[in-house]
Amino acid sequence: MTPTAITNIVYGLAALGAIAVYLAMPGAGPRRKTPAVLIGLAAVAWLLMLLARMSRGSAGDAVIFSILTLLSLVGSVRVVTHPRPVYSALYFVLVALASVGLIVMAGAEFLGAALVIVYAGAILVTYVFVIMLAQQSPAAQDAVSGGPLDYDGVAREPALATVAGFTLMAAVGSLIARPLPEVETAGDAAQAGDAIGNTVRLGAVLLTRYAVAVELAGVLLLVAIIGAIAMARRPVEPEPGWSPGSEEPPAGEIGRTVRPF
Amino acid sequence: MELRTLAIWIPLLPLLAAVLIGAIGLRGLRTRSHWLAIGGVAAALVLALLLFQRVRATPVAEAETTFNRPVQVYSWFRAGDTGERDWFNVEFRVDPLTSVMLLTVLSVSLLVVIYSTGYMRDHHGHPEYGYERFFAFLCLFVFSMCMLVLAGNFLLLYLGWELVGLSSYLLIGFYYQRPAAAAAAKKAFLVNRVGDFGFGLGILLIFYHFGRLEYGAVFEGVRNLSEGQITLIALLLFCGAVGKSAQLPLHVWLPDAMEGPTPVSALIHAATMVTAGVYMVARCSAIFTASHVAMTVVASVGAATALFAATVALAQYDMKRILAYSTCSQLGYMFLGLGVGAMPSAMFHLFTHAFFKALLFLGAGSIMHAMLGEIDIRRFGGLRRSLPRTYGTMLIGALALAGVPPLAGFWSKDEIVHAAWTTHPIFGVVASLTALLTAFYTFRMIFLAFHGDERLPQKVDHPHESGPAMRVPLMILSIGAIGAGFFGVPAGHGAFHHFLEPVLQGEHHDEGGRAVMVASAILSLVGIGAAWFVYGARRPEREPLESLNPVLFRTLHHRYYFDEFYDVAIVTPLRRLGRFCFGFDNYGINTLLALIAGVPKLIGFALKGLQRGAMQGYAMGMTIGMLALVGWLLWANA
Amino acid sequence: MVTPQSLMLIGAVLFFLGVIGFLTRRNLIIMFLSTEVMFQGVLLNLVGMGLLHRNLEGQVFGLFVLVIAAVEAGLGLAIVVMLFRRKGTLDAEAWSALQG
Repeated sequence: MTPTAITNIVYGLAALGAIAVYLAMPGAGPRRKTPAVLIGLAAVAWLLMLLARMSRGSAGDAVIFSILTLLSLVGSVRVVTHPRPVYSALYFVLVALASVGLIVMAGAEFLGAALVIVYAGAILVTYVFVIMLAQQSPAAQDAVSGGPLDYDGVAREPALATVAGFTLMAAVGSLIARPLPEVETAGDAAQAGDAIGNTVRLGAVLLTRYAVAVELAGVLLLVAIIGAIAMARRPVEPEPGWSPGSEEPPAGEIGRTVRPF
Repeated sequence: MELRTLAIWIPLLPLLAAVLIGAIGLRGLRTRSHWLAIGGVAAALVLALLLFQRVRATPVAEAETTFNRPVQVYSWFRAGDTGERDWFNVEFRVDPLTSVMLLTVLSVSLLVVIYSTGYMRDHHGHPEYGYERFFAFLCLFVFSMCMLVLAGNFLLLYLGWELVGLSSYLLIGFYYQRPAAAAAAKKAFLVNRVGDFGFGLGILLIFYHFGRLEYGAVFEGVRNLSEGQITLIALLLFCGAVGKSAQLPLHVWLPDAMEGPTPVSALIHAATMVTAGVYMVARCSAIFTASHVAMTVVASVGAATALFAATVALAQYDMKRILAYSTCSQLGYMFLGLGVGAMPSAMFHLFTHAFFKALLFLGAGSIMHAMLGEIDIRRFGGLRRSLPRTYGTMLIGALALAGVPPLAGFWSKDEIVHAAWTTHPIFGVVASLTALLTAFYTFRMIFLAFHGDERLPQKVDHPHESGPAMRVPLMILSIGAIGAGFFGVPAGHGAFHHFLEPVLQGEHHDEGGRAVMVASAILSLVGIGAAWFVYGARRPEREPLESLNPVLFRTLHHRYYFDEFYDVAIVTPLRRLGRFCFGFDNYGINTLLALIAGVPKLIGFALKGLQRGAMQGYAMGMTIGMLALVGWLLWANA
Repeated sequence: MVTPQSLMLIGAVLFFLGVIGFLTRRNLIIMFLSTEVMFQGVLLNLVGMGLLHRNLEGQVFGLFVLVIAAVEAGLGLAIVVMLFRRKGTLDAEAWSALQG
């Protein structure tokens, strides 16, 4: 496949994806959901076909890869477009697990495991806690539909953001999708069928060549803990005109959209 | 002592006195500042006497060469590429004219300084506010005048010219808190500026033709130029004299200059500064005599001024203003004398006039002190019993001014009258008529002030004579007024004239006819008699001249409306022009600048909209920027 | 089919989807979640490049990126909680007083 053809396909994919994401943005009614889903799925399928064309591999691999890709892409779209924060967090777990799958397929098992533990186990739990802490009182929700509040339910600048993002994506993607030159490096990655596993090798590399970096990472984590504790202990006065537990949120804040330009 | 040293120290001593008084006067000396002034001027006078002796002792044979050789003081600057000729130096010229002027200036200055120590006090005897400032300025003036007189080239002459103008401004405006005084000082300076502009042009023209400004070189080279060019130079130089010596039409500043303290009027505006114009024309006699037209102009202006000022003086009530117009008139006499070629006579008149005019002014100051500041002769009278010494000295001065023999004024004025008659009858008529009027108005002043019943202004209880500091200079000056004339006897060929002859060019007039002398004397006595008849015997109720012809009197009293005419014709249009320019600058140029300054503001205002405080807007901006960058990398360099 | 290119491509897609989410949503928490999605994309990209170079550098880098992501999540959420306590809302637009 010529680079020009690849470029065109990528841009086409991006266009499709843009339309799909735009349609899926919050604030859209049910009748926009169906075309969004259809177009999105079509785009993903096309992407997978492109990827299949560009590489070789066993059929089993291809199926698993396709499923994982589908899950991660659909999940990330839902993260970004779902009106309710809790659902966004849950879809993010899906994305994280799908990427873990892709990473494990690529041979980085330790990284995958670490990802599961840290992301799905720690970070997401924190997120869900905070979402629950920062929940508005139910009365402030939309009384008619019981749905999400105004600021959650409306996307700001969906068109511009979508266009900009997908254009960038197409530009970068067209670069990536070209045939890459062969790189010669002394690889110490585990090859298929290797006796020593990925974890062992990774550990060896980490603790010899990157020992200082590991220590620094530890220090960084310590500092972060201290910082988080310091911030959480600080008493924050609510803005005048509002007290916690009141049913009315501060006036004038909700529903205000500030145009960027 | 070497001549050069003598010449340098004469102006330097008053300058040092001025600087010292300025530096420590306020803090250290205060009321004792006058000692520095007296010391400086007296020492300079002594040196001037030595200089005079030196000059007199020069043998006649080498007179020409000696006097023409300038005394080099200091090489100032160069305005050319190579050679001696391109240097402009501070150089002095020491010759009889210089020494005569120096003696006049320094002796009268010394007497005025001594007088001022008594005058510049309030009626309790405490020194006035600004006492030390007064003496500093006086010394500055003496320095400037000495520089002017000693100058050996036109550049230094111009320097001294401007410096005396500056000193005059500072001293006229001495009581600067009075608006009238400040305005008078400005007027003096500005009117002088007009004259000095012509003067400067003349000097530039001299440089253009001769390439040098040194006296000797210029006077030698006069014969190489055409008469037309010489006339132009001479007329331009004369402009400066018209301004400085208060001739028509630039005379308007002199009466207003009487706002300054009386010693200032005596020194600067009677004896010395205003005579600088006469000195200059005499110095440049080589230039002036080479142009017939210039001489005629000088003589005409002088004659016209003499008559004009005399008529105006008839109708003034302020004693100092009468004397100011009298000075104007006598200066006209001097220029008349210069214009008809009687240069030594004009200088002689300058010499004698300095004494008796200063005497009259200082006497007026004495009256002012006694009358607590009042000087309008309508307000007082019959003072001869209360102020006998003042009366006596002023009488001597008035007689000298009126030209009564054998006082000084008679001899000098008579020579000029004679020279005028021999040149052209018109000049003679004007000169004699002016002499008659001079006698008349002078004695009008004397009779109204001193004779008749004693009348005093309300605030004065008991007038008393001034202290010795003021009396002694008056007496010395009266001796001068009497005796100075004898330097010029016999008329036209006295010692004075012979002394000056080597340096002054002019026409020699034959022996002054006895007839003219007798006629002049009779004219003076007739004038005095007429004044006695009108004013002396019995003080008139109303001004007789006014009753005679009210319109004429009013015109004379308002000085022929010269000031009003200048105001309408020159001052007001210039003010309007100034206001217009200010408006243009304020509204036009400032608006333009504000517009230019507004451009960054406008840009800022336009870009302000980009900052909405929305974080995501900024992130959007970043994304678009990234897009642009990536796009450029990809597609521009493809 | 797991080639460096495919991994990197998916990583790019994930990253830019995260960007769109950050730009579009007003809820602070969802904005942070979008940045986490961006991190995922970066991780995939790094692993893909590690595959390209056939060594472990990509994974090591990815590990450290993970650490950073964790740190950022913790501190960022602490700040979000403080912001919520101040204004009582999670709307990002509420914090737009510093405008020209």
